[in-house]
Amino acid sequence: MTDTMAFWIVQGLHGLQFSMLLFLLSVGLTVIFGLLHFVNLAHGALYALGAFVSFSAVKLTGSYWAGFLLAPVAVAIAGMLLYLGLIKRMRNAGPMNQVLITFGLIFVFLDIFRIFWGDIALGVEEPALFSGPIEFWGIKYSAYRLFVIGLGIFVLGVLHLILSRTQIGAMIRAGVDNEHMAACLGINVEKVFFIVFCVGCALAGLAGAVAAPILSVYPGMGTEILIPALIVVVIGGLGSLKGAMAGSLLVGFIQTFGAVIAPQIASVLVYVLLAGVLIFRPAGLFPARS
Amino acid sequence: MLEVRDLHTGYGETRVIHGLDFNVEQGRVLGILGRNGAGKTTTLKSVMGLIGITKGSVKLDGQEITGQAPYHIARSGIAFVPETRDIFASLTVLENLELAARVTPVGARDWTLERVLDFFPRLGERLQNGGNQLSGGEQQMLAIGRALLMNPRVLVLDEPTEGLAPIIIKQIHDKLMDLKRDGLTMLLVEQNFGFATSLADDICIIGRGTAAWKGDPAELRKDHDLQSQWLGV
Ligand SMILES: Nc1ncnc2c1ncn2[C@@H]1O[C@H](COP(=O)(O)OP(=O)(O)OP(=O)(O)O)[C@@H](O)[C@H]1O
Ligand SMILES: [Mg+2]
Repeated sequence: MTDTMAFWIVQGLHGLQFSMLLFLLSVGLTVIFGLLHFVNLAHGALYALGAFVSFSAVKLTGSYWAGFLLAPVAVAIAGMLLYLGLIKRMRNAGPMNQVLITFGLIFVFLDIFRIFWGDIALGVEEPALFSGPIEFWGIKYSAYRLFVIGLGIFVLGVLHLILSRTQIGAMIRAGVDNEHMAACLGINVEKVFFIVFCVGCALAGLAGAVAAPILSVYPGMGTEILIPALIVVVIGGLGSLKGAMAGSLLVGFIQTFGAVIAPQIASVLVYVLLAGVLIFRPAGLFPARS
Repeated sequence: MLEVRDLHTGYGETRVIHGLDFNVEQGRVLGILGRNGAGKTTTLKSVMGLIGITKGSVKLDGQEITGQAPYHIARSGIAFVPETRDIFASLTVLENLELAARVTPVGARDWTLERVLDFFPRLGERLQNGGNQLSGGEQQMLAIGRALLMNPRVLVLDEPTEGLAPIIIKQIHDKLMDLKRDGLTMLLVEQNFGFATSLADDICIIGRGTAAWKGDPAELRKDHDLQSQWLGV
């Protein structure tokens, strides 16, 4: 195996790992968009909250897994409170008001993070189980990053099974298709929305916990990833699992390889892709509603 | 059984219905007729709770259901077959049916999946097809089958013949006739005059936002002045 070959494989794995992180984040965003027609710009802040909760849990218990388990739960609870306190009332307030409110929430969260955790970037240790690199084909690659890739694929599989095989999955698809008709079949669409919203938040929290050892934990981390996550949602198509995965892979790989091959224009490439999709497939690559 | 009193409804500033009364009696079929844009669909959507009611009341078996959420109204026993059929495109035919069967109202479980497939054999051949792969007639059968699986006390149909070929209209007519003989209470909105007057036991014509005429289908069929005044037949 040549060195250049190994280099590209490592870059490919990096791209895949970043894609999976984007997927965990954007899947909640896209389903909330598709189902509730709700623009939650604070989704990135919830991801950051997951990372901070995970940091504190790891610090208190000394175990990575405490953060891994607690972050999704804590963020789901935060999402629940947000939904009941704000979002439920904003359901029919129109996109402009929703954007304003959730944009404001970003700053509220930023200040909460600064007050409780400070402004300095914090580090979280990788779990002992996945610490250090793994060697294969003469390549050394971080075991933890492989774990993140595996986790992303696992979550995709579980969500796919739930959506395609279970009754709640059918209810969610029906709700995305036609909210009113779903209600006419006796489905409490509002309750389904609530569950979906909380699951989306939990996944954002999980993404935060998983990202913590790779990226450091700092207040602005949510705003930083929000833009790529929104691009993933638009490219993939609102409300679609397949779209979230396809969009995440595209954005993840373009960002990773762009930074290596053409660092000067790397940051522009994703927007070029976005513009291309908007021109040729305005509904995204795999929109949930055909 | 389904009693609508002094209904006022519309879209924001646009008032469509003002002061409509009708009563769908147990085991009978009430046909609602009216010109295009008379407010028939608006009336049905208001009964289902999909459109807010400004004034008036809707009662099912004497129980007030005015202002309740649509899922609540559906669970209390009103099944809706909308004008646009609204088959879920991202669900298979089977899933469309199963979703409806989920809600079992109190009382006997007359309609099962087997019975619906027996009633509409065409659906049985299409179970694994996506909801977006059906012909207009199949969509209508699925919409009706789905409604039946809810085991409703009242079946509400909005223009079931719209856009269908005459032979399919005949099939749908015969199926609804079977349901009627079975004693199912129905509220049927139709533009197809022959179809409606043949199925309905009672007729209510909506005109100028209210009940312009009520009576017997036979009477209406004879009265050509009435037909041209309110229906343009
Ligand atoms: N979403 C809406 N917003 C505003 N006005 C509407 C809306 N839907 C219907 N209308 C208006 O309300 C009136 C009644 O419409 P409705 O669809 O109830 O008539 P209809 O009797 O069902 O007609 P058709 O026989 O063509 O189905 C019409 O004048 C229509 O233009
Ligand atoms: Mg209509």
